[in-house]
Parts: sequence; C-alpha cells; structure tokens
Amino acid sequence: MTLLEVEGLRVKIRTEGGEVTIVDGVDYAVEPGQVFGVAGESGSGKTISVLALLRLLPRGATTSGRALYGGRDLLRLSGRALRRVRGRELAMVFQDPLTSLHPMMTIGRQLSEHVRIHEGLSRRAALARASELLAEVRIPDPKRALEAFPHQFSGGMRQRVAIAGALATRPKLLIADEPTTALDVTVQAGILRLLDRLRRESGLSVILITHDLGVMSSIADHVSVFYAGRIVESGPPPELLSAPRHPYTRALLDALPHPEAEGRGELQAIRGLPPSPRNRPPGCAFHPRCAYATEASLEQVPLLRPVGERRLLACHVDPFAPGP
Amino acid sequence: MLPGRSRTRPPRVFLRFLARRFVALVFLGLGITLVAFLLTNLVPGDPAAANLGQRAIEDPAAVASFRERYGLDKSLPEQYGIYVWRLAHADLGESQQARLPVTQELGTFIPATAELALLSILIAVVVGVGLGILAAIRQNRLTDHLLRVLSLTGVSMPTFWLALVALYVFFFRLAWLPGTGRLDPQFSEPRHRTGFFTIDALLQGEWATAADAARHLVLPAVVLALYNIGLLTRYTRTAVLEVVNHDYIRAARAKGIPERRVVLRHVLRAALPAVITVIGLAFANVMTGAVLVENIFAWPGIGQYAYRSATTLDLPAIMGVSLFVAVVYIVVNFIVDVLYGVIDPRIRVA
Repeated sequence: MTLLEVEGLRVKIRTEGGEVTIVDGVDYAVEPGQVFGVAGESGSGKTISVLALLRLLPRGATTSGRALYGGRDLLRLSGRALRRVRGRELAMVFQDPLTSLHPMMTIGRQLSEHVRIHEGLSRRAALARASELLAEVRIPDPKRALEAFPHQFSGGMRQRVAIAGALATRPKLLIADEPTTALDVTVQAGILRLLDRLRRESGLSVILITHDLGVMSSIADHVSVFYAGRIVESGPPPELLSAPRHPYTRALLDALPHPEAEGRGELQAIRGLPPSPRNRPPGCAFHPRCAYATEASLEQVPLLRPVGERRLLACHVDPFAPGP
Repeated sequence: MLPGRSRTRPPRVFLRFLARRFVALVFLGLGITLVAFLLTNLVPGDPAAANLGQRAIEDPAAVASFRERYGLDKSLPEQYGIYVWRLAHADLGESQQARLPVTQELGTFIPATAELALLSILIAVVVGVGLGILAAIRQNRLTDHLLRVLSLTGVSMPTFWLALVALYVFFFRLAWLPGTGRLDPQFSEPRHRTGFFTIDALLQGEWATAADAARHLVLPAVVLALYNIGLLTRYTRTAVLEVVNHDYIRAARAKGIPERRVVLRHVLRAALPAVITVIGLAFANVMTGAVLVENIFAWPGIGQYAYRSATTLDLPAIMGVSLFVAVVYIVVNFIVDVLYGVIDPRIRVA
C-alpha cells in the first residue's frame, strides 16, 4: 500500500513582486520502505515541495493539490491533528546540521522533548530512549552526549544527532533535505549507510532530496528529477542514470565529474541558468537551454507520461528514446 | 567525537568562565577608582582656598596644616593609595552638607531607589518582552503596527512629562493613587532591614504600612517603566524575528512541538541574550538616572541625593554618587555577562 500519495501539488508564495509559483503541479507516490529520491538544481522547488507536506512553509505561501497519507490529506490538516502527524509519523532532517540543532539546548533535551510530548513519557524514560537512539546512529558514549551541546560535536556527528532526533518517535516517513551536502565525502557515506540501514531494519520510508546524482544512485529506489517546479523525469536510478531520456537529466549527468574514467573529455556545463520562478519560460521550462527543443516545446507544457517500465518522462521530443 | 570531553563538562567550564569574568570585574573596579581619583585631582581649584577663610589663606602655617590634615601634602600616588585604602574600608568621607559619612547617606538613599528600580524593571520586562514577542509573531499585521506606534510613543515621550501627567491624572484628578513620597504621613517608617519599605513592613507584620508603601511605588515605577517598555518591545521583536527563521526553530515545529512551546522555549531562549543586554542597561539606567522622576515624586532616592549634592557642590557626596553609578554599571555588566554564559553554552568556552 502506498504510504504517501502527492497529487497536483502547487505552492505559490506571495512576494513583493506579486505571487510566484514555486512548485507547479507535482505528482508522486512513496512506498513503504522505499527511498524516494528528489533531484534537481537549487531553486527547482525540491525543498519547498517537501516543506509543504509538513506545513512548514513561510508565511504568505499557499498550497493546493493533495497529499494523502493514511487516508488523510496532509495539506488540509490543522492544529492538533497536524502536530500529531508532524514529528510522530513524518519527520524531517535539514540540510545543515550546524543550524538545525538548537545551539543553546543540550542534545538530551532536544532528543527527548518531543518524545515526551508525543508519547507522554517521563523525563527519565525519554532520556533513556534518546540515549538508545544515539547508540543506534553510532554516537560514541551516548550517555555523556546527552549532556553535551551541539557545538561540541563535528558536523557529521551533528547530522547523526539530528537524524536520531527525527527518528525518536519511530516515524514512518523521514524527509531528508540534502542531509549530506554540508558534510565531507567520507562522512556523507556514513550518513547514507545509516539511512540505508534504518530503512532495511525498520521499514522506514525516506524522501531524500539531493542535487547529487551520485548519492542518488547509491541509495534511492526511485528518483524524480525536478526542474523549475515540475518533475521532468522519474524512474529507478540504475535505468534512469544509465539511460536518461530527458535532455535535462542527460545534461545533469554530463556535468558530473568522473574521476575514475581517465581522460574522458571535459565536463559539460549546462549552458544558461535555471529560470527564476518569477519568469519561467512558457512551454517546457527547459527549452531555452535545450538543444533539442522544437516548436511544441515552446508552446505546450509537456506532460509527464509513462515511457517503459516504471519510468515517466515529460518531453515532447524524447530525443534519447531507444531505437526501434 | 566529543573533543576533550573531560575538560568540557559543564560545571567546571562554567566555574572557569565565572572566575575569568570576576577577575575582569576586579580590574575594572580598580580602573574606575583610578579614573575617579584622577578626575577629581584634575579639577582646577585649590581645596585649601575653597575651604579656608580669607585670613587663613594668608597664613602659610594654616595652609600647611590644612594640607597635612587632608593628606594633600603627600604625593599623588600616595594619595591614591590612601583613597583606595579607605575605600576598601567603606570610608567615602563625610558629606559637607549633613556632616554625615557619605556611606551612611548612600545607605539610606540607595534602597529607596533600588526598590523603585526593581519594581519598575520588573514591570518593563514582563510587559515589554511580552509585547515584543506578540509583535514578532504578528509581524506586519495590525497588532504589530499598533505596537510599533505604542513603543515608539513610549520611547519618545519625555519621562518627566509623563510623570507630571500621571501625577495630575491618577493622583490629582482621579485620586486613585498617592502622589509623592514613600509613605503617607500617618504611617511610620518600618524598622530598616532591607531598606525596602514594602519588604520591611511585611517582615514586621505591618500589613497596612506595606500596602501603603506599595501604593506609593505604583506611579513612579510605571512612569519609569514606560520608556523601557517601549525599548524592550522593539528589541525583543527584532531579536525574536532574527531567530524565528532559523532551521532549528523549523526543526522544532517539524517535531510537532506545540507552537506556544516553540515560541516560549526555543525562540525566546535563542533571542534572550540580545534582550538581556538591553534589560541590563535599562536597569542600570533606572538605578542611576531617575533624577527627574524622583524629584517629581519626592522620592528620597539616589537621584534626589545626586541633585542636592550637585547643586551644593558637596564633593565627597558627588564622588560617592559617581562611584555608586560606576559600581552599578560594573555589577550589572558582570551579571549580564554571567547570564550570557548561563544561557549560551558556547560563550563559556570562548
């Protein structure tokens, strides 16, 4: 059974220059125990689209569409029902572990506070749980760590602490927004292994946002590529990354360095800049940067349609379709 | 990994932090006495000429004996040494007006001011911080705009004018509250223990006296608080707004922590250092700068004492008041520094 089903999600934000559409009609489904990857450049609406699920958008943002979770529409929850879902069933880990932990509260306090609120545990029981969680994410000497403050930990350790905090109430879905971007490569691998282990051991589903396709290929079960507030292509990473169909996905992959492949040409930067949400091009938003654009690309927004098994594509041209 | 865990355990770090601050405090105190001493010595004018009569001035023996008596024949460093020595023994000399030890006079005036200042700052903190939070969470809505007008008004009204208006309305017109002084004439002062009439009367079990003392406090305390309410509303609003968009606040919300708790625990805690700085300065200010308000309400506090000493050129008293002002600022700064350390663990190590 599908855990989360997002349909036609749109987010508009009121700014001084008028209303701006950040997320422009996004559909996807997350299955239990699945790592659902969301890829795309900064500004493509990845983060906003998940903040909308937890209703953490800045003031002045309006959301439309549906996000069905356990028969309820997350976008319509309010007050108590919302608080019960937040942090209990859906949890979130933020990009920068340096800023996502309260600098003036002990780790123990930060890990136990919402456990006490959600589950009515005593302080002692909640701290015991927190200490177990820290052990689970492999923090050495968890008892002592409870009394420490975030600044006493390294970045990687802090991200582990943040993940422990997010998992404290045994949520079913973890939203991880670029959880490894601010970390060293070696530390990144550790965090990814941790997420992978948690998924296997406890059936946790993860929405993993990243602009790093390498990270995607190592852990995600399904990847959606965002461009200018829409999904342009999605599918399982092995196929999607080895045989991308959308010109944007292909361009993203060409822009990746391949240190292992020696002397294999230069990196191909994508020409042009991603459009600002304020003035998105009509038709396919990628057309000004696309070598394959046609008349249709300029005029009509391409719809996401199935192409092959578990793969979706939004392109009029489909220049990389496998030959007949 | 916890770097140097055994070293960074909170209590010891905190004690070392306290010790460092305290050493700084001592040096600052010494510095203040030096400045105060040098300034008084730089003032043009000869104490002998100012104090001896016309005839005695012309008698070298009289001048010499005067100088000897007051230690003016000694070198400057020696004089400073004596000054500090006496200071260390709580000897500030004798006021020329009342011929009483300055310490004794300060001892009667300071508690009156302190009682007023403490109540006033309490009012200002509760109301000002509360309104500041309210303005921040209602940012750019009607409440916020109204509070902006109110706080600006509070900050821009001259306090002495507010004092007169308050006196006119609540004492003269409505007669809700007493006008001046610390007690109505039919009450006698409670036996001095703390010098706070409300507390002393309560300790004696004189309920009526305590109530009357409290009623006398209301008007001057509120008038003194108004400016600080405006100030604190503005500063708290800014501090809160700076914090609310941090990821850790978003993270707290994402964990399903109730909004009220997010604001009062998570946001306020992070905003507190900035607010405490302002509270400290505001408190030092009402402790030392309530000259006009004390005069209007005939409040026998340090402000009145300073005013009287200044108008009669009572030098020992003026020096005593100056020292008091300096000490208040130093102590308040010390307390603010320590509170930073209590609130923000990162400061303890820095």
